[in-house]
Amino acid sequence: MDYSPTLLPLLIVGAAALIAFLADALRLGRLMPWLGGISSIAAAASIFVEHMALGADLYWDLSATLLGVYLGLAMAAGLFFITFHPLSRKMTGSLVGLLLTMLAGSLILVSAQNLLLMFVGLELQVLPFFALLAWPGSGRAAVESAFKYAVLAGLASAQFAIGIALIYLGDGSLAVIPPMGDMTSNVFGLMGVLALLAALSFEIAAAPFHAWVADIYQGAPAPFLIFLGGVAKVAIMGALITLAAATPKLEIPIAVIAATSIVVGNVLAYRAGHLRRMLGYSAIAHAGYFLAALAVGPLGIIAGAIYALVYGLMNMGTFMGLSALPENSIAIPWAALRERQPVLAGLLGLTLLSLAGMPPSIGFFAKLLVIIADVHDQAYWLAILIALGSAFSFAYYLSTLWKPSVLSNPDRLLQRRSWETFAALGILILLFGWLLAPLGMG
Amino acid sequence: MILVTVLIVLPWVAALWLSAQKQSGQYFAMSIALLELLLALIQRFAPGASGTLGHALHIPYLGSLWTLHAGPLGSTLALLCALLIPVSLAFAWRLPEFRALASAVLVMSGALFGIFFAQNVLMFYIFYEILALAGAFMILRSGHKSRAAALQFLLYTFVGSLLFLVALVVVYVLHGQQTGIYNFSILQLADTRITGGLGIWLFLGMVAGLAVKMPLFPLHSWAGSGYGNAAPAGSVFLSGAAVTAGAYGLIHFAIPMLPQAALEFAPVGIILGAIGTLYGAFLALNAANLRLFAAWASVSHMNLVALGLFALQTQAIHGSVFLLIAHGVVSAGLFGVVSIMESRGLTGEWSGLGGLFRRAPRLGAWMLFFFLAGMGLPGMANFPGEFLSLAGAFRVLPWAAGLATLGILAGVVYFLRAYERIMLGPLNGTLPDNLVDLQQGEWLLFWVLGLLTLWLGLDPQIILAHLGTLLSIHSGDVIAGGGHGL
Repeated sequence: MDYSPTLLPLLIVGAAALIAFLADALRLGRLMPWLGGISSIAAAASIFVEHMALGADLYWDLSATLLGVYLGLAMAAGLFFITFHPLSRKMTGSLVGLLLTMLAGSLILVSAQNLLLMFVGLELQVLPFFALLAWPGSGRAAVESAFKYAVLAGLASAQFAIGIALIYLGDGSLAVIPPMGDMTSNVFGLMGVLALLAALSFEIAAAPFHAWVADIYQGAPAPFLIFLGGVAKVAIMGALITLAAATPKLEIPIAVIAATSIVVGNVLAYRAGHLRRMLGYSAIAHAGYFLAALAVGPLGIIAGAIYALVYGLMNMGTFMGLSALPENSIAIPWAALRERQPVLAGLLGLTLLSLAGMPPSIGFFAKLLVIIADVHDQAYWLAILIALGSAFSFAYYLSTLWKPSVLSNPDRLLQRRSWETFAALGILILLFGWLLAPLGMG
Repeated sequence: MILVTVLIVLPWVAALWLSAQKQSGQYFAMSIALLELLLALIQRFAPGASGTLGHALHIPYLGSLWTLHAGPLGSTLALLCALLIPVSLAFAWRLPEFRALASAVLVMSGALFGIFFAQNVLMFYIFYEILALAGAFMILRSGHKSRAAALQFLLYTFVGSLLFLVALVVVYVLHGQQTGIYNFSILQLADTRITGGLGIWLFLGMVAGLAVKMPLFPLHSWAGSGYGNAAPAGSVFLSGAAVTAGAYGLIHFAIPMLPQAALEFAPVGIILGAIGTLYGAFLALNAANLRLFAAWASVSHMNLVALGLFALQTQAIHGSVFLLIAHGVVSAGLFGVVSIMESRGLTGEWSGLGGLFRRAPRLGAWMLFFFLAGMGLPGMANFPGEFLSLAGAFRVLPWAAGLATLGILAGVVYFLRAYERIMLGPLNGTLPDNLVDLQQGEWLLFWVLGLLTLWLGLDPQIILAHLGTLLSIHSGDVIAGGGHGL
């Protein structure tokens, strides 16, 4: 096979993953997060250089480049972050290898223009999580959540495979943009695309495919949720963007899923009463806001890409903050956290506000863009639904901010000086990230 | 540009610094507040500090997010707000929760200055949301520390303001489609052509966002729990300054953007305002305690402001802007009295009051003064405002204005009745024996507010004379060419 420049980021990440897997045997595990981080940054840089390059079945178009660069940098930040977490002490090399495999899958997902390649990306991304969610040292609840994730993700993968088969049955092509017409030009294709949509909706936990999400968020260790929420979900959103951009007929089913998700997510999150479960349920609502962007044509595709990026950033911030807390905390002990990690506490508070859509954080601007896209396409009802959902979400996000919670033993809070730097950077990005917008649009 | 930027940002920096401190920092907060007052005075009266002051933070398709514009109305309301910061802090001086309350007041004042000097509607919206969040924080952290009241305030204001945002985005997109210019600047958006039925829906969305802060009649119920649960010292700022944001948004943004729809909505607005005035008076008459009494009295007056605004008639709008400012001062006095009484350990429940005048004659005298001002006694601040808004509204919709006048009459009843319950009659046995009357600092505060009340009442021209230019040019056109044929 000829060398294609679009493959370069994947080659970098793949090679680093292989080295990382070997490193445990050579007792070099402690170095691997740094190697992984640097290679992720290198992958991001090569994506940035190669943008708009059309290769064999991989296309770094505008949204794919944006998300690809983000995924590389987010993975690097996440790797540097968990180096300081006790969970990464055991088998560090394998841990990094799995995470890099997941990154490779994510990069394939955002840039693939071929259904089979997309499936490979999906599997590469989902399989490492079976192991990661139940990583040694993370407790019984984590094993349970990993098992649930495995069963349900397997189901979704099967559905994705069926979708591919149906589409192939219909027009004999595996390209996302087939040579003639689009994937929905016949009834098999339509069924197949709907199956793909269902499978991907499952992965981003859009209603009515949301049943798994709260259990996973509750049980899984927070450091790995950084990657599940901040990398994996963004990549799935990237695949959805590719799919929605290629098949205009999907707009109506996407709009329906979006509306259901916004309503279901907000109601469930309001009633959750448990910090992690609330975050899980609110992820449903966020999937809804994202899909509401995709439901409205070309401007919506841009809005969706930016929403995915911003959502990833907010998730990273949230779970970086939660990594310092004991795993089973049902509310945030603000007093203790402010005492020990003041900047990280600030980051956590800010991301919660940003998730709710408080201006001038980037969460607000992302929602604004989605509302503009919806209004532009005259989908007023979606815009109003987003507005109401967002207003309602303040009720539960803010109640986590002001719910009094006392930690019985403050020593169970992790204290890491180096995390404060991450947190300061995160605060800058969340508060002033929108100032970078002119660079992207200029 | 720099002056106004400092005016906006300084209180936020101060609030951040204050919340990171261990001690409560009264003197620090007060010096920042006085500095803000000085800056606002310079801004209002220095020559050449009006018009568009500058742009920064240009974002493609959104316009410059930091576009400052100083109009006479904005500068005057900013001055009122700057005056109420030190007043509110002074009333809160000895409260244990001073630090939280001061941070909230400072954040709110920064947001208010942003609102009063914003040219970009998105910038206005951002500050408006921050104002709401800080207000909820204050209700949460002061007084009864009621989470339910804070949540209610938050949900009311955020649902409203997000509807405002959707309506705003619709205007923005329409303007972009008509002219190809995508920009949130009010100068651009005011030129949008909006046809028929859509306009009225958009205006309803904007009214939902802005009138909820005033609070206009069907959206008023947060006020009881909000003012009733926050510390009265905080309510001084919340009811005096924060509510002006909604009225300012209507005058400066909503009406210029949708003039035709505003005219169509006018009768509904007048009726709602009239009902609100009467209903607020009725609630005040039956209020369970002193805090709620002051809250509903404020709501009643603010509905009169709304009535004047929606009349879209020169006289009425002048009156309602004047009443807005006067209400800020008088309401600060009312909640100040409540605050002083609570600092003496009185709960404010009617059953625990009565005959207080014998124990605290100075407090009684000042309370009478502000109650008389609240009634709209000629010569005091509220009177010119009430008179002008009603006189204007009578020419547009006489029966509704008549209804509102009944609310003013009821005002005389409820203020005098409350005064009788608190100050007159036999001495209540449950009153503590060693009740301290007004002390030096408190006395000074009341003198400042009292003189201001008298000044506004005796010489209303200091505000009214500038009102010809107070309203921005666009809304001036609407009112002058108003569809009422006046």
